[in-house]
Amino acid sequence: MSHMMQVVGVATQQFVYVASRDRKFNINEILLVEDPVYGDLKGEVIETQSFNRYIPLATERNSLLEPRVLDGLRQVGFRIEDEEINIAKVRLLEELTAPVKTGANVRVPEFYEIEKLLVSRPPEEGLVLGVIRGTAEVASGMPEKLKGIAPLYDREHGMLPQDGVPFILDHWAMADYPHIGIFGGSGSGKSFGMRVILEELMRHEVPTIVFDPHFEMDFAEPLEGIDPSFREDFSGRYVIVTAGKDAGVAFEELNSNQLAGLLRASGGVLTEAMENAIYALHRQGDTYVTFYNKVYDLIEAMEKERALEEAFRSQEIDPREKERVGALLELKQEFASKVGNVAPLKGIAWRLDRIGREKVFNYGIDRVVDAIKQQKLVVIRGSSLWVLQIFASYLVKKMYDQRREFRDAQQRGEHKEFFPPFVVATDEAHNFAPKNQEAPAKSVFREVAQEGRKYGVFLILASQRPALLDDTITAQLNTKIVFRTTRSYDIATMKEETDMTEDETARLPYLPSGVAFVSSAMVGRTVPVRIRASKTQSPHRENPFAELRKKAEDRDARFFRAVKDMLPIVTTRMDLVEIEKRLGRPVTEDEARDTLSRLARLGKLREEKILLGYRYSLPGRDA
Amino acid sequence: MRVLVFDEGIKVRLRELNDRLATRRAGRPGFDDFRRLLEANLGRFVSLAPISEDEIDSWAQGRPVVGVDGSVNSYGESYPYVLHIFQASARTTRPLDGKDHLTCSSVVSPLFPEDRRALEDERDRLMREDKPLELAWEGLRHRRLAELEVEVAIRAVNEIRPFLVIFDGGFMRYVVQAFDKWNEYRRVSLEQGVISVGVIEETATKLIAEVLGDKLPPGLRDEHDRSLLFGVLREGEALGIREDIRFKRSEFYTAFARFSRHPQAIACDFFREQVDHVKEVLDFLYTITPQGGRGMPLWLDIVDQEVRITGQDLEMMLSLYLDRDLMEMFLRPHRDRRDY
Ligand SMILES: Nc1ncnc2c1ncn2[C@@H]1O[C@H](COP(=O)(O)OP(=O)(O)OP(=O)(O)O)[C@@H](O)[C@H]1O
Ligand SMILES: [Mg+2]
Repeated sequence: MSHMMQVVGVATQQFVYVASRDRKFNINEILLVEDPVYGDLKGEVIETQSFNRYIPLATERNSLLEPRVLDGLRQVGFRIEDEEINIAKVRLLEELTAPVKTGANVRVPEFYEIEKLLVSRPPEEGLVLGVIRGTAEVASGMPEKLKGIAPLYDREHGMLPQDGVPFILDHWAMADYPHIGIFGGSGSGKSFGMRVILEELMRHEVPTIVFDPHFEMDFAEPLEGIDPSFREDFSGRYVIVTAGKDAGVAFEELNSNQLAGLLRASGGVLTEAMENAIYALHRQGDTYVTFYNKVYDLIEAMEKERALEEAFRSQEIDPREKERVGALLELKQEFASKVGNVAPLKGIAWRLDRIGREKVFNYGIDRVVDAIKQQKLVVIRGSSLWVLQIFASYLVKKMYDQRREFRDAQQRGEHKEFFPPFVVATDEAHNFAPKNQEAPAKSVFREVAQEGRKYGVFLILASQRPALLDDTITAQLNTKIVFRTTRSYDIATMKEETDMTEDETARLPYLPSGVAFVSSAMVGRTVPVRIRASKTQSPHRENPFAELRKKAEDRDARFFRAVKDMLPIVTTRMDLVEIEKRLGRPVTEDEARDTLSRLARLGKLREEKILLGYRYSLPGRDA
Repeated sequence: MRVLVFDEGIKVRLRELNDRLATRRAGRPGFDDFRRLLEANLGRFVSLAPISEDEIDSWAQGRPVVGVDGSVNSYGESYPYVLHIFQASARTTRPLDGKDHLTCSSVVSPLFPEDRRALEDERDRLMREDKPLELAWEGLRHRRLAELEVEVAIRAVNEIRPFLVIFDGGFMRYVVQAFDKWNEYRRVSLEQGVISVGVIEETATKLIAEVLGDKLPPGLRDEHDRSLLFGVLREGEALGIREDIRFKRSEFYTAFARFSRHPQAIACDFFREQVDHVKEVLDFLYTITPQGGRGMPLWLDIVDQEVRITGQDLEMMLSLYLDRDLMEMFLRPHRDRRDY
């Protein structure tokens, strides 16, 4: 049955209201307005409303219609609930010179009429990220190859069928419109969306480096409840590399500037004195050990100056020791005046120790480079965010330079070993490149944001706090995927940095998880998308409460095993020392008593009240 | 904001009017006396009861209720640049093939030669009957509207076969304005066993005063049914006129009823052949009337909403199908162009 839809009320050049009695409107669906002057006009539903036009009848004078009135009418077939009028506010997708005619007929388009608007790249050549919202009805006329490629997911119901036209991000167009931002509040679907993008990049064998601050980017585990036909095995297409374990920074390649950056990352702001000390002491080519020794030796030389000088002059000193002392004094001679006092040196030493413990300087980046050259995805982890940042600043710079050198050489017609274009993705981007604040990786991220397009190096940056991300970088993200956002600062940033309309930004706080507005210079309009089901999921994380319970059970079981052959135990005469010895840790009397009574409640022990306390024994056995 | 300008004379006259109305009311007999008078001379008070869903079901047998109403809208001020849009609608409570109403329409304008001729005929007739010519249009208007309403009711009986047709207004209007069509309606609806009721909100008749004659206090002998019955019926009560009393025309039967807390009575016309169903129909109407409302069955309000065309709707429709410049040149009343 075809539905009657009509332009009603006041129309402008940009907006019309469309009403229908028998058809509900879907937010974001595309409709065609058959205007007698302009012909068919495409418009997008940006707001929907239904109201029951008979409810006002009831409420004008009398507070409510008695149920008996409605029941009486229902008995002869009339259901007041069905008497809704549906109204949609529709934004026209083209700018007109005069308003549309009120009363004009409106209809649902055929797929071919809006195909260009919806699908910019065939699925085999683009990133199939989800379903365009509001396209369920037109999707029935879609060619087979667009069907069933973007099933949906819901934690409650598992996999759901694709209910509309697929959203295919044309990553080829990144050559002109580089970089992607993924924004949204906690739980809004950023990580899920990132996973889907990364799966698609793996499908297309795009070399990608992913910094993984949350240890969630693994692709080994299939999505729970996944349809077997949708399953995909990504093994062999990605590697996981941990900074300080199987990759690291080559210290000897660092210049003083970079070293200062690393030390800053490891412990916060550097004082000016510390910076001066670094520039004074560091020489390119220093290894971690030579630099480390230089710092500690200088501290020693400055602190024990008098004693060292005396020792140096003393007759009894061992020649080898004398040599060492001489070296220290020379060091002091050379650097003491530049450094001033030992406080900045101690600050540097502390930071060096901290970094050293992470073994950041122990390995190179060969594993990463090899994988990138094989067009794989490399997940990079670190023991903490700052370790990751230090490594990122080093790695991205290094790889970016190699790619640039290759490209420049190619341009000059010189031969150089191939280095592929690649993508750099990270969550917590506002920590890597914060606004109005220094961070080790900031300058290289900026450089890639501004120049990466020329060399085929692209960023995918996710952040909960777009307002805190360096704005030079934000401005370079030509595609922004915006999930649910509730903070007004962040909404304001999105308003400024995207072409989203008032209506769309007003909806940001209410988006369900996994639904986003994709605002892209590639498309030229904001597309509402529900991100598809991922094929994999982040490694299962134990529920924190289950974790607590298990922990308690473990503790009880250990206690039980320890005291079993000390039974029966009388609480007034407990041998705590023996219990501590068996458990290998201190135990208070309270803890012992509580644990015994808990074990009794669990039926593991028998509890008897005796004169001043309790007596515990194994159940079913006489004392 | 604006300040009302009221001449002192208006206030004086309004107060005088109030005094006159007060005297009229003072002449009315007391509640019980008047009810005794009515029972002795006119009919019987009957308590209505809401009917249960089961009763409705067994009575309607799955057949719906249809409400019939009409509307007329005019546009333009100066003859012949005027047009009139008539629409009558029969709305069923149970949609048939997704459709919940039937409509008939007619657009009349002296700009159409045939309409002009009809108007001139009407004028000639009035001239012959020595009636004022200004009534020519009024007469045509009433006829067209009544005809359309009956037409759509006939279609509803044939196509929908409801168990009950509710008209918005009494039967006399159809007899006077659409005699032949109305007779046809009467015939087919009786044949098909479709019950008809005309619900009259403003009972501008003086039937009670006529029947009671000098049994009424002198001041009330010219009183309308409406004000005579005001507050006389209890909520959920009807006054059935004795069958031997000829009220209106012999083929009709009329009852008064009060369906809500509001003290005004409404009148209901029936065909005399269907007098056995009066109680059931009144019970049903009582059931579907909001207690806090003005006493009209909800279904009629719903049908009215459906058929009514607002000024805005009309403008919209005209602007869609008439060229803007033609509309401006010939039709749009100049005062519509007022700024405020
Ligand atoms: N596209 C989706 N389809 C179905 N469920 C989703 C989708 N996106 C997110 N979810 C659900 O919402 C949960 C939270 O999503 P996700 O972990 O991606 O949030 P986030 O934005 O990364 O939050 P945080 O900033 O706290 O890391 C997921 O575990 C999943 O259950
Ligand atoms: Mg996340």
